[in-house]
Amino acid sequence: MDITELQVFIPVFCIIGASTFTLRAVFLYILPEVMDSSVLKKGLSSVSNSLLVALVIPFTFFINGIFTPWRVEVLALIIVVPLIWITKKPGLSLMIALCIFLGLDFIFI
Amino acid sequence: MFPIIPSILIFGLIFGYTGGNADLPLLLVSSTSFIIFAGTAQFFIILAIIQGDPILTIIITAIVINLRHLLYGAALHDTIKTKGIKKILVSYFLTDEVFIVSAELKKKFLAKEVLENDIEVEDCLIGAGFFAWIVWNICTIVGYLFSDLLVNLFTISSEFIVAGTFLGYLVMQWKNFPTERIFIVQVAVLGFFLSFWFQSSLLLIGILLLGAFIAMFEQHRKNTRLERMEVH
Repeated sequence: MDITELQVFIPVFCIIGASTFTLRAVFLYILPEVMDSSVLKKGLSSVSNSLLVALVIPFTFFINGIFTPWRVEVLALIIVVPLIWITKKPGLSLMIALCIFLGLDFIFI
Repeated sequence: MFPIIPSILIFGLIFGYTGGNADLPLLLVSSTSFIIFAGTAQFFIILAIIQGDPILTIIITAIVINLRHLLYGAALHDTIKTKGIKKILVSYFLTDEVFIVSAELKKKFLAKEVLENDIEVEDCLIGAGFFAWIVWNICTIVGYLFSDLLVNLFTISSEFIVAGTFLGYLVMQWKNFPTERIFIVQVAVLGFFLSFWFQSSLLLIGILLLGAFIAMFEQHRKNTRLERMEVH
């Protein structure tokens, strides 16, 4: 990639960056002002739970869109659930999952 | 914010590694991090550049990927009352990870657990966002510079890292908010079946929209039931 191509991409990044910023700002400050309904508010309050589900379920059972449940990683993630429940430390879930995964990996493979 | 850092750290390294491995210039790879600062869109942009996709396709797809921010912004709107420069900073820093932190804080605020400390949600959001921005940019550069050494680190799948990072928060949502359990199950089942047909950002946007529709439908049913009871 030469310097001319690089000069082309920097403005492209600025356009994408500006549009991303505008999207965030418009929906953070302007649009909700005109929406005053308990139904809409309930819908919007569900976003955080939906996001968590969207980041956990597909990424646990699927790799590149292919259903692959029979993996040591899935077993590690299932074991993590009761540990988080007991310890009440959600932030440590990745660390615990990694430790369990490495342990299982060492035992089975 | 610290619990979210491992995810940002690993994905920053993978992002830098992807650019370095494809022999793209460091300025190009790292400029996406400090200008755009939207992980999923950045991954798409770099992969599209590697594949030689047209610029218009890159711009339009990146904007579509970032459409999920409309739901994040709208969901946090009631909590954020800031003005001026803080308003701009909040808009710039509102990423997936920062949204999770903010949503958790919002719930604590509503439960009045943190009011005594006199902390505003927007200040936490800016602090968390700035910290995430620093970590993301440093990791992009480190991942790029040490792409040859990082090959062995990425034997653990990125899917596992994402699921492991957010699983704990989902478990705690389930534990602390019993009224949300039916909703979580509904969205999880839908998300599971959608995963057979859709991937990455399209799947994420689909689950967010379907989740919002389910919640709105339930609220509408509840409102109608209350109205009927009042009539009777």
